[in-house]
Amino acid sequence: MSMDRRELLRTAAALGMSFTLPGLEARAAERRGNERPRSLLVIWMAGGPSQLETWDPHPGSIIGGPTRAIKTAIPGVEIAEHFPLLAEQLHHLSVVRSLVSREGDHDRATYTLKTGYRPSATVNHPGLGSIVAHAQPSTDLDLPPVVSLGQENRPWKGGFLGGSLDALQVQEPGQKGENMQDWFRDAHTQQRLKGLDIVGKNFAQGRQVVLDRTLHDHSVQAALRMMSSDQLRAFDLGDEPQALRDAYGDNNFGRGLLVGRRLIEQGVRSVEVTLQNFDTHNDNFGRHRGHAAVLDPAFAALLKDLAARDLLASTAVLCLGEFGRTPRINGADGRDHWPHGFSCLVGGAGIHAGQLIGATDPTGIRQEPENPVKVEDLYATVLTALAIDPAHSVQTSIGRPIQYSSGVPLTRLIG
Amino acid sequence: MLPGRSWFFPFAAAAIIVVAVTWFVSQPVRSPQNQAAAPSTAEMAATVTKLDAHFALHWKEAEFEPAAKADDLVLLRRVSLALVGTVPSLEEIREFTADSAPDRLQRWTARFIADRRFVDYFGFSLAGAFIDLKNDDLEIAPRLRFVAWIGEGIQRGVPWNEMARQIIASRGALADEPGATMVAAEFDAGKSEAAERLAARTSRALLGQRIDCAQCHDHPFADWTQGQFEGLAAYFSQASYRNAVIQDDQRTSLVIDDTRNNVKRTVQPAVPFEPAWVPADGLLREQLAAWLAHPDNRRFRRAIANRLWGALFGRPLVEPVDDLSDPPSLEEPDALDFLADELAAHGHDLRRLIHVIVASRPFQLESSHPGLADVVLTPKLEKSHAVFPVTELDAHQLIRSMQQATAIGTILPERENTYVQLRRVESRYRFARDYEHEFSDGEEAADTVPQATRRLSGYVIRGLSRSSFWGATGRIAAFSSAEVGIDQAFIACLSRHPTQDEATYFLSQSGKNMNQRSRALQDVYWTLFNSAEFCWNH
Repeated sequence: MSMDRRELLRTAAALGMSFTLPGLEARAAERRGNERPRSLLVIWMAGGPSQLETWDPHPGSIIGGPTRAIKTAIPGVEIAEHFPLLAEQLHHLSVVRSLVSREGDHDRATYTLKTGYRPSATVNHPGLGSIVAHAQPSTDLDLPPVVSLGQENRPWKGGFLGGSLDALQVQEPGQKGENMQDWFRDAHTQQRLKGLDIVGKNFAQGRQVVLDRTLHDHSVQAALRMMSSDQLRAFDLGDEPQALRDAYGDNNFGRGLLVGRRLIEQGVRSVEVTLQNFDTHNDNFGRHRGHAAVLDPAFAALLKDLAARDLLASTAVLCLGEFGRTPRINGADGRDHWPHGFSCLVGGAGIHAGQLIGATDPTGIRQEPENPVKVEDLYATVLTALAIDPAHSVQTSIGRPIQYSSGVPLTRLIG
Repeated sequence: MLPGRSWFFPFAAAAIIVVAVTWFVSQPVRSPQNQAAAPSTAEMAATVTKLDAHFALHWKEAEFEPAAKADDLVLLRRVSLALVGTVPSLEEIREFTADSAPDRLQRWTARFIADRRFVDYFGFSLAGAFIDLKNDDLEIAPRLRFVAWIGEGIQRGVPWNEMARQIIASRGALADEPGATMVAAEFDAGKSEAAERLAARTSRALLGQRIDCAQCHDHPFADWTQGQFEGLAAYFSQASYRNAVIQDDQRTSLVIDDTRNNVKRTVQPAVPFEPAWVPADGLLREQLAAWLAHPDNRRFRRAIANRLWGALFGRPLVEPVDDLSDPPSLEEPDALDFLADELAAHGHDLRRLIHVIVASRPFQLESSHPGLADVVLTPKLEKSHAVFPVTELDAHQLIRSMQQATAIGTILPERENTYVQLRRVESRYRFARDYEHEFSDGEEAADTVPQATRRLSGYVIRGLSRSSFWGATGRIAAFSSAEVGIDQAFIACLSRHPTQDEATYFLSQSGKNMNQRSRALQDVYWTLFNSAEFCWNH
């Protein structure tokens, strides 16, 4: 697959702010620890990260390539050498090395890993983030409850739960961009909105009920409420100390993770932060080293930050991609798609930390890993940790009730 | 060589080359026009009366009056959006308004069908039933070729049963047989279960039935069984797609890997109903194609008639479009049967149906009705088609309409050079990717906060409504008075003049000098682009 396939989309609105605001500390004190409503944060490694170059290295073996391993804060668990900072924070999480899925195609696999279900012609399944927001609606939130940060072609969608749970996408989070609140308060804008009101009222004559159903006005009002809200400051990094911003990293992903933490503090239910270009059919080792240079400091900073702010108990953290990569190294020094035993990191929200689940064959001969974990079971685990019953059914338009997840929670991680 | 004139010949040669290249590059892409004459008014009148009778009966029984007849410009807008995916241009509206003949709507319908834009837009909307248009993994060239193949086929009046036969049963190189793209795409996605996925697509797209719901368990409402689904899938078991060539191998059969019961079983091809319609021999896919298009197969024609209705109204006659309920008894045919019979009687030419639907009374009703203030009465009005539905424009219609509303002339591929066309197509594609949210058939489409945010602050809208001399806003502001400018903006965006209140308000915002007028006009465009009236079909 060529890299241009992963086309980078430009955002329609870079959100930024320029107000001096009351410090976050005063409000923050109200929402810490276990009493806080729970949130989900997913780090999405788009393209299929290599488990051998991340959380499941096999140094010295025939499949291991040049990647060496380092010890981590979890005794007995080693990860790839490119993640020294994360290794020190790994005790907050657990490592699963035996994820299995039946989808090796990017599109189908991404659907599966975003929703916990294989694609079906019958149904549009909601994304995991949308499920969380549906099960635990936010009150008093001007922002959308589901947000996707970074460049991602397939952010969470509400599916049969409704378009109101589609993720708001911000391609370049934390960038100083257009000042949304100033734009809104500008007299010129107010003037335009008055014109919109007049045209709208005229059209509404004789169409009231069908128009209400379109939610057009509702969405416009909700969008305006968001654009004029103080809560928007969560998107701006201006009041974060420079040292912290440096720790996360001055790049789109690092800024995204920091914005993600702020959104969660604000009450956003689900945040997804994407790091692109893991589809390393060529130059697998060089490219993964490059990605690690961004992911390692940012993810480590996030875990330290969440722990310091007492947010880990109420935030489930998940880091994964749509599949892993082949043990066999191909002719272009790359690895190809591999859904038969790939890895993820998962923790927070009471999920048992320090666990190692599953193992892949160091010789690369056996396809099936030890203790295979199905995607739906991983998601049932995450949902349970967020105090959501995965077996809860929702009636869909085809008349068939569908559960939030068809899986069963893993007892080693929850309960 | 004359001394002192040695610069002349190289200069002349360079000038000739520059002129030649410029001329060549600026040549518009030509494509053959294919004017189909509109059917005669008298002939249509008889047909349409019979169709209308089906609806008039419901209205009489329900004891409410249908909505008033819509203005011709409203109808032009509906037809334009449905057939070429955009609101009518200023130029087209002027021409239409100046046309005083009574059958102008029929003639303009024929004109839109013959338009090059029809191939791209209408082809695109129908192609989505057969291939996944949003899947990045399918190469873009075959996707576009398939879209063009469908659009051109309909435009030329290729019989729909023949097109269906090609979709199901074509063999050979995909480059030569674009009809076979559905089959090729499913094999490309993965050989495992390709036959099953093809059976699902076939039953939904061509029969309007979700027989695949029975893949794992019997269908919840209808009587389809798992066995029937598997039998249908077996018709695709001989096909294969390798090296961009589709072939059939008569030796292979369908083997289902039943993981639930842990067995593998071989399945014989069997159609879900009326096996007598299957020809005795031939390749399996050809047998299936013949069964589908059998003259007695009502579901086949009802399915496409329903989709055409959906394309024109924004909502199909029967929902969902891929899972119709059983046809009524032959003694009591419904409106869909009437359309299906019309199709059969006219060589399965879809253009005929488009004309009939456009001429029908339900199509020509207003989308407003006093009863729409009442939550109880509203669904009754809608169900009996007593009012034209308000439905969401798709992202492609939205961006095309915005591009058209901010252009002076009609945006026609024939008029533009390749470079400009490519830029437009690229910007449309990006907008659609950003904007669209998916919903299954049967789920209510509704605006979302991310969409509203994009519109209100989006760079596309700002860019389009920003007035520069080259765009409509700039030129209108430069050469017209404020009143004319506002009027033009309303016509370009909403296909109507402003009301007194609207005109007064916007005029009050405008100023004396050109800059103020220009800015005020930008505001008008911004407002109109964000209005429900623009974003929804009505």
